[in-house]
Amino acid sequence: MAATCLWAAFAGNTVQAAMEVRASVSQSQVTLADTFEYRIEISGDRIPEDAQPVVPDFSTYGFQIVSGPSSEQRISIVNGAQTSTLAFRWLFQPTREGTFEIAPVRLAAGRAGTLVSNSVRVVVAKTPAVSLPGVGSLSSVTGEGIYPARTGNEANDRILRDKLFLRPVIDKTEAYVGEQITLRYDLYQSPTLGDLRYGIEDRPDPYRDFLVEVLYRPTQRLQFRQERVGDNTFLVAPIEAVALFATKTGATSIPAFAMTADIPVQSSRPRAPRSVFDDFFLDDPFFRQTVRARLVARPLGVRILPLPPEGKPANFSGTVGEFQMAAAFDRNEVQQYDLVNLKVLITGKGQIEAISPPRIPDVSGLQRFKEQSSNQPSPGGDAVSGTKTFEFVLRTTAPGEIKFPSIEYVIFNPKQKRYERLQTQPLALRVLPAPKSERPQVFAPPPVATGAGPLSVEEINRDIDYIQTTGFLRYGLTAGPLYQRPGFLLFQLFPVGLLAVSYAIRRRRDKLEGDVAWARRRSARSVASRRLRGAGKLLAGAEGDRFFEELSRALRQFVADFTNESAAGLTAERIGQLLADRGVENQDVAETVAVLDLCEAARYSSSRPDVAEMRRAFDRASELIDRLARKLRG
Amino acid sequence: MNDTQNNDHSVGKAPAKSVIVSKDKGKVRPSDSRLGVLFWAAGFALLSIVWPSTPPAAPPNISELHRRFSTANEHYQNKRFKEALDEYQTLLLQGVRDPMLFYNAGNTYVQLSQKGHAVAMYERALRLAPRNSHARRNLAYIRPGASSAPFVLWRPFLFVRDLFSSNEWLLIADALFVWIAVAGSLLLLLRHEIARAVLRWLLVIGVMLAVGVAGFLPWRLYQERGRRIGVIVESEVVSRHGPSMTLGEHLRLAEGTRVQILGNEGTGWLCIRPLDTAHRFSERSYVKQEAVEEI
Repeated sequence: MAATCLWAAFAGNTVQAAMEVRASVSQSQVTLADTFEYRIEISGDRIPEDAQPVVPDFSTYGFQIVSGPSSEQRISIVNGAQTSTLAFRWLFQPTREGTFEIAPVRLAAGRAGTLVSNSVRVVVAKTPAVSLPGVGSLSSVTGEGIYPARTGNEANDRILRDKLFLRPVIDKTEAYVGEQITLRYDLYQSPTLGDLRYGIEDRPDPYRDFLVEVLYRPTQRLQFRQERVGDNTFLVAPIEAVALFATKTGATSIPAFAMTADIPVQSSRPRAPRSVFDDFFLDDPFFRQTVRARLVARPLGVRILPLPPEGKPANFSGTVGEFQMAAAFDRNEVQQYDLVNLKVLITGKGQIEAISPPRIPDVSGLQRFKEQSSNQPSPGGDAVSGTKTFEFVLRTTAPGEIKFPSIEYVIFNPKQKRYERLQTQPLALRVLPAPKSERPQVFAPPPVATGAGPLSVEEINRDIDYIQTTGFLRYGLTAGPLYQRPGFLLFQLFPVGLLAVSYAIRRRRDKLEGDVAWARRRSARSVASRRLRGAGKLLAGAEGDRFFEELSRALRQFVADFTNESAAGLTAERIGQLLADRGVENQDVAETVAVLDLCEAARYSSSRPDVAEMRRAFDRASELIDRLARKLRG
Repeated sequence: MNDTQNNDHSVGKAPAKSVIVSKDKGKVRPSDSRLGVLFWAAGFALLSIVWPSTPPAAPPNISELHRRFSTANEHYQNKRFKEALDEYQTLLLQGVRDPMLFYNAGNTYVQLSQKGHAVAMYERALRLAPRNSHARRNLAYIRPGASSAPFVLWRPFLFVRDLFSSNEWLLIADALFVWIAVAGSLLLLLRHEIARAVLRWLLVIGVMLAVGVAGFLPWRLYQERGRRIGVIVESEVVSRHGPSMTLGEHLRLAEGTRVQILGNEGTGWLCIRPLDTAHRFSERSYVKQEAVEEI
């Protein structure tokens, strides 16, 4: 049947114009024996790399995932416009009939909000069961019909209907937890079909609620036997046989088992055959083609019962099966301080590996040393069986006759539907006194206080180190990387800053020491300020001579420092010349000479200068030094 | 220079503060100005990068965390491992990342026979506290012989690398940085020859140690944070040659195997490469995401 795609219109409200999500199925009408593909396609000019659609829970529709999700991405560029398509695909096997509306898929699309796809409808019809004479008895075992092989072509399906099918054989559909359920899949093939090539479809985790022991799986070729079903003869081959041990109670199902068969047909002959199976025995390989048929064994429902609480002994350890138990020492006579092996064998049907060790009673004169176990499954047969051997190594600590009591072990027998107590026979062991010369070589002398066995240091059982209880949160709450902490990063400025400051100080010091002119120029202003401060004090004291002397010295020293000259030999004319050489304006040069002359005149004048005149001279000198400093530095 | 000058000022001394109210007062020389601006700009840039943009969440109650941890330990001592695990998980969900918490949670997973999760917890504990011998011993106990012995000449380097966590290596590097800065600064400023000789040696030793640390620090950082490591947490995981169950089986990975996560396929599959295995298994493989717990 041609695949029908249900491409529906995009139904989202808050959508991005450049992106859309569409859902579709390969077939809208299928049977329980078919598989179909479900596809989600996201298309747009730019699809986020982490685009992950939120899909509905397919198990609610009874769809079992055969494979997927698998994804593929296509990018097409037409006239410079790029379009990307990201597709996710699943292959489903329906497990129940009905009409199912697969809910829309949602995709978070960043600022554009959420994209919503269309919903898709799938109609699952019941598979017409095979009504072969005699197969009814098989159906009574399995409870439902057997699915015929499907090729996708109705004419071929009609012919294959009675010739090729898979039959599941399960020994029980109701079992206790831990009880064995034997499941086998048999392939039935009509001899007229000739040699077919078979393949088994992959099933992800088919027995998820069970512990599985594989009883049979073909390695190379299928082992066919002949079997008569009604009037027909079939070639029958087992495909898989497993022993299942349920691990949890309640109703559970075993998903469908599917195979493919490639059937050789002739198609390119001049005369079209009535059907592709008219003549299977053509020898001409040039005209040979194959048609692929799919065989499906229906899903099986199983009910797992809990173990009955009535009569459950307190020492029941959970072993389920039909078992017997026996115990024996490896010898009846042993020397004191020697080791003796006690073997406990539990034999029967059931999951051998799950048998827990029996509890060994504490017996005076025997010290338990170590234990080990081994499994010996019995090959062949549909029932898992074998022997589990527990070997307890005991050390004799005191001489004498030791009566070893019987060991008790409780199991649940699913066949009898009750708990059973297995018991071993009581055992006897004779312990001879050890020769004195041997004792120190093996063990230290026995402790005086207790008079019990000898002292020794030996490992009875290895285990992990104990939990730690002190020092919690020693590393802080989060113990995140330090380089993400602002405080740590800011601290990195400290050494850098320290080096930078040290370097700057060193550089300045070197310059001060190496360049006297620069050092004098640098400190000229502060020296002048200090002298002016001194002159200011004299101004307040109205000491005219000393005030003008200090004012003159401040101005001279300032010019001398700036020009790297000796202040002692500087006359007003020389100062004027030096300032003029350094580009100071004539007005300021004249003002400097004038202030110096004023100071000289006031110092040697017979009349006492008034305070107002001194104040004016001070202001003139201060402003002049400011101006000169600006100009000489600039 | 005559006496007057010598009396007036001394060369090399910082100039006294001027009393003259000047328009230039406060103006810094061009070189100082540039240095200062650079310094503060770097500081502010660093602050803007590292300072958290969102207000920090309210800190959890420390005494409550201690109480919960003690409760979990009591559950463990009384063999109520599921309850203990619930308490440890609650602490982890509250954002507590403490090596002791990881270690105890790992022990609890061992008792619950969940070897893969236990390995993941021990690995986390060892990341934060690499000298935790208990975690190492337990890891070797539940995963015996998992890691092949490295080449004999590599062992001292691996030993030194695993001696400290990345945070501890960072602190060591930082201490050496300060050491070099202080020694360098004093060397720039001090004039005493003996002191300078000592400082020169200290500087050389500091630089040599820093070079060594500069080798181990990125190595350890890469080990801890530079690659995605996961642990197989399901029993007998079969990896595939591609991200689909329909593709061929590749490797059978035991529970607790460490894997390097090379990428997320986006369809519930992870591209991985098993660690601590023979070289022939070093090719890419694919497993279901739920089979791997990222550390």
